[in-house]
Amino acid sequence: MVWLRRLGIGAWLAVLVSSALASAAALELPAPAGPVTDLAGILDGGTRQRLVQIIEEVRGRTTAEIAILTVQSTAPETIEGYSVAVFDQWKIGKRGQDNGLLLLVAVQERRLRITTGYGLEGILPDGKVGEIRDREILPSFRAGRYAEGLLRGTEALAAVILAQGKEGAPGSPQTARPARHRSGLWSGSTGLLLGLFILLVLFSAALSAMERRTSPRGRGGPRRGGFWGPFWIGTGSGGSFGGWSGGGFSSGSFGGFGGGSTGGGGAGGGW
Amino acid sequence: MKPVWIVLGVIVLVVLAVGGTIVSKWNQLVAMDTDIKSKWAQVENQLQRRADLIPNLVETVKGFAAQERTILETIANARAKMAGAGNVQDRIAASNELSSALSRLLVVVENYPQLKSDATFIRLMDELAGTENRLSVERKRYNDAVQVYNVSIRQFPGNLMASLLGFKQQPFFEAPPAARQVPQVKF
Repeated sequence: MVWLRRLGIGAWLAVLVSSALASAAALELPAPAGPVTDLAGILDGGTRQRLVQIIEEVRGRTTAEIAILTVQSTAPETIEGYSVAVFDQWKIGKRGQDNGLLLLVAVQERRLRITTGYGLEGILPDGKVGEIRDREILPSFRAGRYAEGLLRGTEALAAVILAQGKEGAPGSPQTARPARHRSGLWSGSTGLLLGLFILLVLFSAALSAMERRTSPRGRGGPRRGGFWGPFWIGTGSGGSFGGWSGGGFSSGSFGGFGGGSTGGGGAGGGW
Repeated sequence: MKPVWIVLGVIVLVVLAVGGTIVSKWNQLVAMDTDIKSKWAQVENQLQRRADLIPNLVETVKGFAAQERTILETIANARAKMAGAGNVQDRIAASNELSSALSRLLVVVENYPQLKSDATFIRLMDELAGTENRLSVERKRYNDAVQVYNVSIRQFPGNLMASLLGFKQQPFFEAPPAARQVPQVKF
């Protein structure tokens, strides 16, 4: 039954094409080059080393993860939107605890933003983060001393995190994200495809069985049923696959961050 | 084998196949609908948080700019409206009103340098800006969930089953362009 095979191939081609078209082009975000990613080139080697040291100490003692990212510009996104996008993609902080922090500097726009994960919001509320920004970071930044500002800011943030110890805020209010609808055989478009295939296979089997009875022809087989198959299947699966695309991928080769998430809290400012 | 049995067998399997797809679609729609409700609950968290910050903010502003009665009253009214709004659509509208009232307050504050440099005010504005950002993040997540769901119940074959099973389209949380900016206070 060649037509059935053609139907099958047509259906799967339609599925592949629609899923490829459904995955939208996302914002291009940098990959982390370690805890400190200095794409704007404002850090010297010594400061960078010191920053990594502080971050590693915090991570070792409390599992909280600090990430520093400097870029030339966050355009066309706002620095707030960009920070959350980076946080979501890098997944800073330990999964379940969400104790991550991202310090983002956009040099061209002269803006910075500190984004706290859900789990750090208790010990680093927006007001406190703002205080650190005003006291430690912005004065140095206004004088053009970016490395110094970042170092002072990171030290201050680390001090707050270390002072609270390993527990910090009693767990993250946001536990595991609701899982995407990943389920078994009868879910979504798979169910529809399966249902239709079973239907078609049996239909053709039944008809060829009946035709063999009535008139012994050669390899007859109904051809008219096939045309609407791929159309249905294509539209059905195209819609469902649209919902699957856009997931983040795990970060770079330095070991990656812990899988944490953020709600967008923190503070930012310009200089 | 008699043709009658074959036809019967095919009918049974047709019913099973159709039933199977209806069940799978139902499950999918229920999962999406629950996801939307949980994302809306997150939005509500942030709306509440913002509502809680407002009385403090109003008091602090009154301390320096008591004569700006109009804008303070607008904010108090918008907040009251928020508290009164019941369904999702009304809450979205009330929230947008409150957002624009807060933006207008920021413009007014520019005329009071003493207020701008007051430590309490700065902390409150940081909290408010953080909350607005959180609101925008949760709003985006809610809208993403609504998008997936709305597409699913409008496309074929979901649209047939959705009307049968009672699933309706959900509203997007659209913010008016003026309120889309997170409040930025320049010091």
